[in-house]
Parts: sequence; structure tokens; C-alpha cells
Amino acid sequence: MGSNMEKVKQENRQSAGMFLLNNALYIILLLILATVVIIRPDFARLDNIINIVKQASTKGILALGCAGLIVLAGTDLSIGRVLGLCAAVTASLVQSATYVQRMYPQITEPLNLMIPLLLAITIGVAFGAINGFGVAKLHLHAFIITLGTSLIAWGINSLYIESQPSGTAQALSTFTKDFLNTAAGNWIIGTVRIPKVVLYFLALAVIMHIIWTRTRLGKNMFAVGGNEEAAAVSGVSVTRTIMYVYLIAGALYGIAAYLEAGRIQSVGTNTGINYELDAISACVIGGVSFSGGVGTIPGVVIGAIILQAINYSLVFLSVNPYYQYIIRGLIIIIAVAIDVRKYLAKK
Amino acid sequence: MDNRNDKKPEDKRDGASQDDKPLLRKDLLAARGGLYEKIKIPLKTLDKIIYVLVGLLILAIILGIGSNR
Repeated sequence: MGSNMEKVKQENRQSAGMFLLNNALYIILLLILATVVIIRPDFARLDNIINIVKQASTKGILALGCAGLIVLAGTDLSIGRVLGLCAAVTASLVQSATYVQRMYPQITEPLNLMIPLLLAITIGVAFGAINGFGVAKLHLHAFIITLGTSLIAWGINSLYIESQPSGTAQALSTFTKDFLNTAAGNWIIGTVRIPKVVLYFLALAVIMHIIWTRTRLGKNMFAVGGNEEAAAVSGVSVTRTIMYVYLIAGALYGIAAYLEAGRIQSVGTNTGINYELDAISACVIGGVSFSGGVGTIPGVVIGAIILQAINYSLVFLSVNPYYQYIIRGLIIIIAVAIDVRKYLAKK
Repeated sequence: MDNRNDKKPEDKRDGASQDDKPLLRKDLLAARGGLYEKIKIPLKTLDKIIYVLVGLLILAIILGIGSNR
């Protein structure tokens, strides 16, 4: 009897320990947020929370795309620069017709807002296709091919912005009210203003969740990410699966760029810089494993929001930006270390 | 007498030799997946590293609070 009781106690201790380790990062980050709320109780105000979710939304959409690539045991370093290029194209087409220094003086009537959206998605998908082709067909490492396309996207973006009639590389700004209302407007429910971008993010998250869990592509993606050779032997087209995941990621980058242009209202050559780090961090914090074949969309959504909450809280506590880099870097390393630990414990 | 099984060992060998080349190419070029496969670190050591990293994170936050003035 006594030994049985001890065994049960030991099992309980082990399962509690496993729970703590598996959710260690969430616990640490929530503790940090709780500390911030204790130090500055006004941090937990509704408008701050809405601001955090709003800022997390565009990066969250990027993370939704990037998560699929990480499930395939790949990555994407071109996210930020591709977003910058797509946002520049969007911005140039939605400038107000009354703005004298607009990119296209020949556009005198506001364009249908679907045109810049479709163009942004097309550019994102084109870069996704190049990355996907490099990884799936040429068997290049995702780091290398996406690093190359990142530089290409940056170069094209800089040339595009410099090609303004004014001959300067000034940021593209002064957008039409219609565009600002669509991309960065609010839905007012009673006294609460909910940013539309948050609803777009949640809608895309639901669609991606369905793709990941209810479609053959989703199942194939996890199979390829878990064990590429076993998936190929089971009849899964590895090349096609990788290509589709990269194309979907590209489309999501295009949508995120369109919304980001509306949110920041000024698109320059440096727009999108380091966004890939936030997107990848959100995935890792959200439990998407770099070992491949592991991850969930709700995890990515929570990861994006927690990461933004931490960033926001650091600004709130007047933390020097250089310290912010150190803190964010440490969070990523801890997330990966915990991921490795889970992998080794399973092994 | 069913002699379909007679060819199986040879077929398997042929299959294996055909698969060897793509595997080699994959090792050299693809390097996709298996990011953690080469990590061989005792769990206890890794736990200690995680504790140190968490300590550093807390230290960086404490040092950083109010530093942007």
C-alpha cells in the first residue's frame, strides 16, 4: 500500500514537472507580464490591450505563413523584405489623388482597393514560389535561398521607391481615406473600438487552422516535416507539399503587407526590417518546433500576442531599446532551448 | 509452387543501391530537417543552461527598467 502511494506521488511529481517544463516559456512570460501589471497597473487598461493585439496582428499574419515553413523544418529570412516590397507597391497605388508628390500622378481617380491587395499577394506568392522552388526542387537550404530572395526584394523595393517622379527616396505616404478605413479602420461595438486588422488576423488564423487540421495539405505538411522520407514512401508528394506551403506563406505576406501599409501609413525602404525575427519568434514561442512536424495555429496566435505584449511592456517600463534587443534575443534562445529539451526528453 | 518471393531479396538490394545516391546528394545539399538530431547533451546539463538563461533574462529586465531616459 505504502509503495503504491509513493509511486502515485512520484508520478504526480513527474507529470507536474513535465507540465512546468513544457509550458515553461508561457509561465515565464506571463510572470513578466504580471510583474509589469503590478509595477504599472495602468498597463492592463483596455486600450493598451487592444493596441497590443492590433500591433500583434500584422506580425501574427506573417507568423501564420512562417509557421508552415518551420513545421517543414525550414524557415524564411525574406519575410521582412518581401513585406516591405509588397507594402511599397500597395502604398504607391493608394496615395491620395490630391497629394502632389504621389508616385503615379496619372492616377487621378482612387483605384479599386482589390487591385493593390491582389498585386501585393501576387508579389508575395512570386517570392514564395522562388523560395519553394529552391527548397523543394533544388534542395537548397531554406536559410540560403530565403537570404538571397530577401536581398533581391530589398533591392527591388529600394529601386521602386527611388523611382518616384520627385527623384527622392522619401517614404510613400498620404493614403486615401477608403484605404485607411479598410486596412486600418475600426469596428465600433458600443463604446469599444475593435481594429479591423485584428478581425482579419483572427479570420486568417481560422482559415489556416482549418487548412492545417482538416485538409490533406495540412496532414501532408506535418508528415513531410516529421519525416520527409517516410512521407515520400507513404505516397506524399514532398515537392508539391513544400511548394504549396511556401505559396500560402507568400500570399499571407502580401495580405500582411497591405494591412501594415495602412497601419504605419508611411512606407519607406526600411519598412519590414527585422519583421522575420518577430514572426519566427512568435512561432517558436507558440510551440512550433524547429525539429519539424510540430506546431499549432492557436499556439502561433498566442505566441504572436505574448511576444507583442512583452515588447509593449518593455516600452511601457521605459526599457532602453538596446536592452530590449538583449531581452528579445534571450527569449528566443530560451524558447529554442526548451524546444530542444522537449525533443531530447521524447527521444 | 509460388516463386514470386524468389526475386524479392534481389529487388530489395537493387532498390537500396538506387536509393543510396539520392541519399548522398540529400546529405550534401538538402540538410533539411533533423535540426536537433546531432544535439547530444544530457538533460540535466540542458536544464541548468535553461535556468541560467532565465536568470539572465530576469537580470536584463531588472537592469533595463527605467534605463531609457
